[in-house]
Amino acid sequence: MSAIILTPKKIARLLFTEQLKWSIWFLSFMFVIYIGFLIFSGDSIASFIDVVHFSNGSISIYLFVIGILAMSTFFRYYINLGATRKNFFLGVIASSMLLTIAITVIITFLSFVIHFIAGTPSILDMANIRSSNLLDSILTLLQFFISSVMVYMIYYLMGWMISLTFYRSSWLYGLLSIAAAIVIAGITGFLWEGTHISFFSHISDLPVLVSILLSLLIIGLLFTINYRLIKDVTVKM
Amino acid sequence: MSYGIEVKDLRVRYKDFTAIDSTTFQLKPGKIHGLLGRNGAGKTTLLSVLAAFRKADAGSIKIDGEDPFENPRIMQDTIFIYDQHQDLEYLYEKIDKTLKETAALRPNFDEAYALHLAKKFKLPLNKKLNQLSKGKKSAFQAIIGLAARAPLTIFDEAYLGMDAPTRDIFYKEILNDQEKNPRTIIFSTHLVSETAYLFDEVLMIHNGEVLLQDTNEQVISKGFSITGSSEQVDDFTKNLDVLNSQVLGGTKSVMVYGELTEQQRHAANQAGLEIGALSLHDLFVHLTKEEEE
Repeated sequence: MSAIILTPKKIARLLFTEQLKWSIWFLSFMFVIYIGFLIFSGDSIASFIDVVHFSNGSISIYLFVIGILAMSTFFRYYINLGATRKNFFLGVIASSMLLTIAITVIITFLSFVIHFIAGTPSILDMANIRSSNLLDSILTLLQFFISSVMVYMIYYLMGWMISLTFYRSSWLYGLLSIAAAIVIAGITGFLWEGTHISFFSHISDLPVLVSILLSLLIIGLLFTINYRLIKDVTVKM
Repeated sequence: MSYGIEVKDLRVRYKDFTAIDSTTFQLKPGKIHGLLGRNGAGKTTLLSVLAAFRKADAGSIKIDGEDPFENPRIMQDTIFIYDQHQDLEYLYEKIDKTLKETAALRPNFDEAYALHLAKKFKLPLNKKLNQLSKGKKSAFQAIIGLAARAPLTIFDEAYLGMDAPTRDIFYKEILNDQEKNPRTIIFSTHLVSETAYLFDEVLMIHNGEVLLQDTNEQVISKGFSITGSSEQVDDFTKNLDVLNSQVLGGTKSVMVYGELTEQQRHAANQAGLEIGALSLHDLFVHLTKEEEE
């Protein structure tokens, strides 16, 4: 008996490599656009936003889209190669976590590079922390990091949920899943400012820890929904 | 390595349509099984359940003693070749690279053999998959199916789009490689006349049920033709299961399903009737004929 080749780890590695390639293309284009804005915004550079805030919204949407593609591009490919649905599911989960972390690292790094070269505001400036307190800066960065990874993750999982629902059932359930995604995006917007849809943003002043816990809950919920959708889905032929 | 299959009381439904109805059969390991059935008979549904692409609604399937659904070992050791032309339309990778990738992810894949086959099928290795013609796309899939040497290999009308000479190469390669590396092959088709010689065993399904299952020889021996003068043929076959009859002048030729006793054979000879063999194709066509046709 031969060992299982397409383990969750192997699938995660292959998916991550492929999606990272796409992401580098995406980030490069976004970076070029940002530089373009910098050049044409003339002397108001100092008041211009940093690359992170500039790109935050589009990265979420980008992750939403590749979440959709996780199903249509990769699912049948791996099943045809003899992977189980469960291993594919775990592979997607692991690769999406790695990807959201990688994207956040890259964008943070870019922000600092431009800050030092062109004098644009850094992430820290945007958070209005201008004190030289190192701890505050580190905490701000950490919060930025955690919130970005979580928001990106939620958007990825929402995209995947919608494509899974359309794959598995009728268009009616598909539309319902879109409605559910809008609600989830709204709640996420409430937890972390700066997403696309934000209900009750006027009362959005939650302690960070609560936001983190609620985000984890949403992510856990999306994991569960997506697993329920995929675990015995019929592979379309 | 090859896997045996046991299917018991299998049922698959699509909303209010029963595609497979309480079907029971066994497939011996290491043989080439011809799965014959007309369009819509339930061939693809049956195969997709065997390949764990679909969950059965009732009944049990055992492949190498285990339920294949979500079974990492059985799923890895099964290859299901069906019409994937739509997928290939969106693959922009070159053929040699794709073969290499597949080789890395399939446990028994023989890359050298795949390259040998690519040459035989005249597949341009440096061409992208989406640029291939229909027939070449099928040839590419056939190569993957053969070179994977999976203990359970399923070809579901895998020849679609291939021209006759290419199909011939494909069939011969199945026989050649099966001799050297035996596995369980299920080959579904409705082109019975040109593939009959491939099969060790035949499983014929109709309207979601097993019509007959036996070795190829046994199946063929169950049918025969009787030719002679009209009255004598009618007289001889009045108690037999006649599938089809043709009259030409005073001569009548009928196809009969069932086995003849020595006595009957003798009587036929005495009456000057000619007994001939039926082909699998004839049997298939007439056994699966609907009443109104």
